[in-house]
Amino acid sequence: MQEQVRPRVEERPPARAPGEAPERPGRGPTDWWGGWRWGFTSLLIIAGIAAALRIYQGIFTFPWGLDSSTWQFFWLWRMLVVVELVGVGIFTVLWWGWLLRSARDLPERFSHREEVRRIAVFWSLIGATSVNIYFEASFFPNQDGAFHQTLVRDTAFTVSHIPMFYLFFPLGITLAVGTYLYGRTRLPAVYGPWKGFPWSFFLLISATVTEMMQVAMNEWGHSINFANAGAEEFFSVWFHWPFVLYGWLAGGIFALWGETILRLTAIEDDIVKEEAEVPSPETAPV
Amino acid sequence: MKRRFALSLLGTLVALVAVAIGSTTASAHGERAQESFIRMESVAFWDVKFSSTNIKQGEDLTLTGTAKLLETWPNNLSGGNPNVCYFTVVEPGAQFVLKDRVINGAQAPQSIFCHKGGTYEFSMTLTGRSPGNWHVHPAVAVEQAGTIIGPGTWVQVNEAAGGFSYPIKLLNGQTVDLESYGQWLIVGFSLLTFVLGLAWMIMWTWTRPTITRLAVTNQLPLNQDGGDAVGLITRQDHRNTAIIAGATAVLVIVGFTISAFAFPGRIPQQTDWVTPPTFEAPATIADASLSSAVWDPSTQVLTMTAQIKNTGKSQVTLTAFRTAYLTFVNPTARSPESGEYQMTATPAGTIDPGQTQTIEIKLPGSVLQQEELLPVGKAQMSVAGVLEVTDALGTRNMNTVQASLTPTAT
Amino acid sequence: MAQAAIDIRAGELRQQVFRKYRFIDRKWDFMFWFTAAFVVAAAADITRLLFAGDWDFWTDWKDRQWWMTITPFATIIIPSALQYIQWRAWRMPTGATYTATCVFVASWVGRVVQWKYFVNYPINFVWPATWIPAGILIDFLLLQSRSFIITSVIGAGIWTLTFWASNYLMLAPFLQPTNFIGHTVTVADVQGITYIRAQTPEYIRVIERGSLRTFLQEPQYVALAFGTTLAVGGYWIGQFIGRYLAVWPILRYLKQV
Repeated sequence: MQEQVRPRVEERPPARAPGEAPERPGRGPTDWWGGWRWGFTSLLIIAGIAAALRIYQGIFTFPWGLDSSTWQFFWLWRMLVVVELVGVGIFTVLWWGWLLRSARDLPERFSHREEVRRIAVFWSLIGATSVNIYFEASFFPNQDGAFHQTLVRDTAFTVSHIPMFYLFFPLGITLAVGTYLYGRTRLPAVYGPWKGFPWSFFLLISATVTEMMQVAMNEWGHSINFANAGAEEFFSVWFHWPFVLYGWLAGGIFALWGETILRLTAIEDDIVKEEAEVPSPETAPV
Repeated sequence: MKRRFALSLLGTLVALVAVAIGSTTASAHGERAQESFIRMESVAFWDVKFSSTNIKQGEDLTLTGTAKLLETWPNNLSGGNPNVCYFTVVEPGAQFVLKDRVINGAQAPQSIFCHKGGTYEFSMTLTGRSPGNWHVHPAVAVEQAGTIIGPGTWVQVNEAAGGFSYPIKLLNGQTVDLESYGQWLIVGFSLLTFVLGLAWMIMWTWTRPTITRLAVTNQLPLNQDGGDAVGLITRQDHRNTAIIAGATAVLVIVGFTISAFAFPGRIPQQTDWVTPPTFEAPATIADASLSSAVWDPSTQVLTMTAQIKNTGKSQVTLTAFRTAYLTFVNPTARSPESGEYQMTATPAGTIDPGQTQTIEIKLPGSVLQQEELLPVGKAQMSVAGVLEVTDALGTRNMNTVQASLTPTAT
Repeated sequence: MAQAAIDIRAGELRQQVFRKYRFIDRKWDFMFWFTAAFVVAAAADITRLLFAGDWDFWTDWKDRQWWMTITPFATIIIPSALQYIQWRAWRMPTGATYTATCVFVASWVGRVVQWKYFVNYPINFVWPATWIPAGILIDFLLLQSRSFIITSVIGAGIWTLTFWASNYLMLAPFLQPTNFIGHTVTVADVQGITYIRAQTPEYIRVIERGSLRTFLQEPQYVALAFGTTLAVGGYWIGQFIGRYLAVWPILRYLKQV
């Protein structure tokens, strides 16, 4: 988080920057199928994955999810862990790679309209992160408490742990870091590299990373019965509390909204100033 | 056309997979991952019987048996001194309901006080609740130790006309269906509160923009909103919020008062732990101990050397060895029942009164390995269980035995 | 003169409140409220689940002594954080109600989809407590007092009492006595005994057991009082989250702009 003093980026681009494609009807920066498109498609994708996993659990848990020593458990559940981790890994490499590679081809100067569109996409990515956090911290934890009433826990890879810890937890890291990469490469005025690493992202990314690390402590606690705390399924057991404390770090997500709102109002102020200086409609910047 | 073909192919694949794994014998509930020496040394089960394995919703089945907290109870569980137990059933969710529990002849609704060396004859009455094929085990949960699972079996619950209902009679004479009692109050009142919450949120968010207020609030001290002059919060807002807050307070006060009068005679949740009567042990007819236990991985046999002294008045026979939820029967004494296994006991035959006999017992390693009950390579390598000795009159003694495990190779 | 200056300033601010923007339309507001609902619900739910979940999962844990000692603390934290954020950013007294409403939806989805339909516990056994009346009243208090200190001290008491009253009225039917397995117990106890919980042996319930100092039927009130003081602490933990994890990074960013 080094603070580097740099001169403010000159931001008086013409109406449409060179290389910017002409706008299609309904695909404007704040149209639902324009800048906001990823807002609901990402939500549907993540919810769809969660729904698919929940249906899978509904079919294959009883009885093959109850005894981790069986071959059925190996193929239906342990292999699912592999599929999830590999899947998230592939998505991470592809997406982050695309974000960084395509950034090189972006024009240096872009219009206010384009920047607004990018902020809308950025908010959509925050939304995806938010939805992911819901599945990792509410939907599947509810199942965890419920499912562990049906068997004696005999592995770290229980049916309820598998989507929660081994898909949505790592996906949270992917989404948080990916959102940062998007901000860094597409919103230089807010998250450009010369501004140093933002505290808002530091907190949000820390939340996702520490949650992943906490999985190890959780399994340790359940396996050793330290201070008689691992033998029973007491949901409020002390070694669950770090999940909560790390989760609070995700409060940094509000700062992302705050920072980009301030940038939006700054853009609007710039537009007003520019229109006051150049009142002619033909040359008014948009 | 192509899409239909692809869907049919997918459906066929799913069906094939389901059939392939359908013929499963997955029957455990996680007990195999519990340390073997702990399962052997903590609780032994015997005579576990299910009165039926095919019932309808609403029909009962009774699960009976005996569980003993062995004298070999591990020191690292419950501080070596178990004293609170809960006899329960391990089944996948609330597919059955438990309607009665009797321990050593006394009804025990909740936990019981237990002790190391205690023998507990249990009888639990279950009623089928959800249609399906469910694996069911009796189990003993011991405070600060965990749940030790007994032998289980599959129970088929068939659908009954009219489904499942669960009438219970309150002390005031009213009969209610436990499946749905109070549900409409819970759902209805909760929804009412949700409506109030929505009203509050809509009131604030529908009538005015949100995010652009940040530019203004950044210029105001934290405890100021500028009043009607600025327009962030108006007199109308104060009035509307007072109405919603007032309605909320009235709803809670009135609801609480009505509920308190509608359900009189309330008592707090109960902690009704009983000390069951002492198990009436049969007359002592034999003492038994193990002097060695040798595991030979090349022959896959566990060989135990036992000393049995007949302290009774008639001849006795070694009839079985029981450990955790497994039973190994001496085939020269009786035939194994369903779910039991065989051992060999040499020499075969009876032991006369006053005589001490050394018997070599061989157990099939494949069974022990399948159940992960061979503690080779574990933190404690020992075997334990009960030796069942029976006399001519049918009197049985269950003698707790333990010996260090010596593998010929690891 | 001073009043005129104040009026002019108020007028300028008012213009900004009602300003029309080129690109910032109501969709931004919708996207904020809608997408934030997920993370707010998640934060509130996980805090409640892992600090006080057992008392919230089961009717036979909602006792006189422990339920209202622990639950107000666990449940006030995130509403307090959101109160700060939403008052500071929008001057809206909506943080607690917003949190309570979001977590209401998340709780019911969780209990119905997972507890009822996955493992088959009846909803009248595993219903979640509602925080909404408590949230509305402390939001109202913040609006009237404009003070987080007053809201923490008096609000914690309002939160605890309202939380208890609004959920106790739903619990009341289950505290009626009945005879079951030869003993007199509550309907809630029957639910706990009869709906088999393989890994919740009855003895792990952390509920009132009675003692030589159970103070003549006062455990409920002692619990409410202590629950209130713990909730004050919980409120300030929430304030820390709101001030230093959510808002402070924005102030740092502002310094760089």
